[in-house]
Amino acid sequence: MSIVKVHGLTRTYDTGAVQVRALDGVTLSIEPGEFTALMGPSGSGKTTLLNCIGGLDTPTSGSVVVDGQDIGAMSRAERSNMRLRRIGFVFQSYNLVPVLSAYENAEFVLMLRGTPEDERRRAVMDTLRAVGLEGREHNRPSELSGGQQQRVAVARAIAGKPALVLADEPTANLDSRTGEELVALMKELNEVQGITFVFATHDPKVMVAARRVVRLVDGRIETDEVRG
Amino acid sequence: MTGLFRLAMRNIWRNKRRSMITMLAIAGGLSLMIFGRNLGAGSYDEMIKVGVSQMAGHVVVQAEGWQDSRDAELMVTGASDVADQLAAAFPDGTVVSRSFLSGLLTSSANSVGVGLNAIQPGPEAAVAGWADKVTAGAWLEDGDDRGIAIGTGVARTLQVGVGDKVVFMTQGKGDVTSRLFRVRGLVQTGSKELDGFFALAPLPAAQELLEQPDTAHQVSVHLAEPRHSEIAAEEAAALLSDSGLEVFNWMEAIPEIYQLIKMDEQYNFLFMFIIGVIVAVGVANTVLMAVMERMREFGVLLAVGMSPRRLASLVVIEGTLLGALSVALGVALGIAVTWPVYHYGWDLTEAMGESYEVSGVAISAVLHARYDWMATALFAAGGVVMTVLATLYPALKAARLEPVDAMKHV
Repeated sequence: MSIVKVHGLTRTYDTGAVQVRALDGVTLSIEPGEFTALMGPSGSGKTTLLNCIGGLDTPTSGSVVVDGQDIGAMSRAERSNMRLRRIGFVFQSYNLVPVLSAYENAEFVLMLRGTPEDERRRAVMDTLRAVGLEGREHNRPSELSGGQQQRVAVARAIAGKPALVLADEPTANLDSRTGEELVALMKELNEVQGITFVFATHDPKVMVAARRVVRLVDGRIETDEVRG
Repeated sequence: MTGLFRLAMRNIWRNKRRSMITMLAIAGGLSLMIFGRNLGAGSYDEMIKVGVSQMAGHVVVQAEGWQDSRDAELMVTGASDVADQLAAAFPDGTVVSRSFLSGLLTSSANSVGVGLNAIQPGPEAAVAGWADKVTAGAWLEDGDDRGIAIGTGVARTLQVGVGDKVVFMTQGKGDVTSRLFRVRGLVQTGSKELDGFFALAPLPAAQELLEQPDTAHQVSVHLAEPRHSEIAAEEAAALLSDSGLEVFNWMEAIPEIYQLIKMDEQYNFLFMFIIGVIVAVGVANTVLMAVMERMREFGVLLAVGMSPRRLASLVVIEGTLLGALSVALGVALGIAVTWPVYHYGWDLTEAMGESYEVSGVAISAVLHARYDWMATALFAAGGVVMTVLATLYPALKAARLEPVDAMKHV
């Protein structure tokens, strides 16, 4: 069963005088364990598609089904719960909670889920080890480099073992080497732990690593390439 | 919930200066309210104590109609019998009988209009503390029916001192009547108005002067516990139900003081409510600013799965913690600021003289506070409730955020 099923997805923004069609009839399926890159120029609809899949934005028409559940039919609270339990997010600007340590940021989603403390500790420590941040647990975001902060963001996204991780330009604020390391890390997590990743990116490094590249232009899928 | 508390607590200290200023504003306002109330409570106590002891009692028995008319001819007849009954009914209290006369006091040098309180020197000294106010000579003695104590201002006007003779003239039964007294002591309340107007003489002298033996305008009971005034008055009324006399508790007997206190309390509570609202607006502003500054972060929290309700709770917890910490600080400050005025008093004698007059009662210008714990608890609870209310709008605003829009904020 597909982890994501998007059918005829349209998203139109009303900017006053002009209506902007960010997505125009997108249909797409993503299978469990995929490492998919959504490519395309600025304004092509990558982030909007990611937001609609993640239940952060509401489609104008069409449907989005994640892990068998139709996001369009969900209330705000249900979408929130869906994100909490099934989806992990990694953002371009890390977006960590500045007053929490690396450990506490990684723990945050599990804390919201009400996971027991012992289980939480085990999961967070395993995750921090997996993203190479062992020994940095007590550092606040301001005490970490950009690459380390993005690793914390990845740890936060995957600590709860979500069905799907959505990453919006995760390497955009990182230097080339750090970006490469992060892509390698996510690739490893995908291969070892079987986590499904969907990226919105301009970064050729991600494109090279991706097994599937979906190219968007003007809100439509121009190409959908699966690599061997 | 522990995680939310931890996050809320850290968020409070995220902008230390702003949080400290807000806390100081709340704590300052609250401590001012607590101090004001404690000072008021102490002043009211003094006003009640002096007013009750010198002008009335906790249970006051008077002839029907005297309370409203102050007609000198409306006397309690058989006053000693009434006093005996009251003494038997309230063995822990002190019973005193008084008459209040007005007339002219004359010396060889001058005359002055005075209010003469005819009292029983022994019991009266115990309840009203007159003996402590004697500045020259001695306090009156029971049985000395020619003795008189006069205010220092009266003595000055009459140019008399201890041992001098004075004559008191008043309206008796349809005729002017007079009596010769000898000044035994000069009394000073500290109030210029009172000291220039009042005199004290034994009750039997007034009874002789008015040719009305065993009468008094008022027979009163002074209880050890003032709070029992209302119940005691009801008991006394039942006891004297067939006598045709009127029985009052202190609040009814000296309504001018009671109403003054009530009015002052109302005014103070209004003033304190206004302070509370100003503080609450300050808290609302701080919390709202904190919310507006963290729109992007809130967007992220919503995006990673925090429910809008939980986000609102986070904002409310932040405001409540800020309020609770501020209230704790404010209560501590209020208690600390009250302490010197409770222990040593606040000496305003330079500005106001030794005392000031309120409704015919001389109140000491050295103010003493009393800890009103009930009011302190009420203000503290009110402070916390106000801060919680002040966070509701910012919390609602946070809960209504759409994650995508919120994350666009820089």
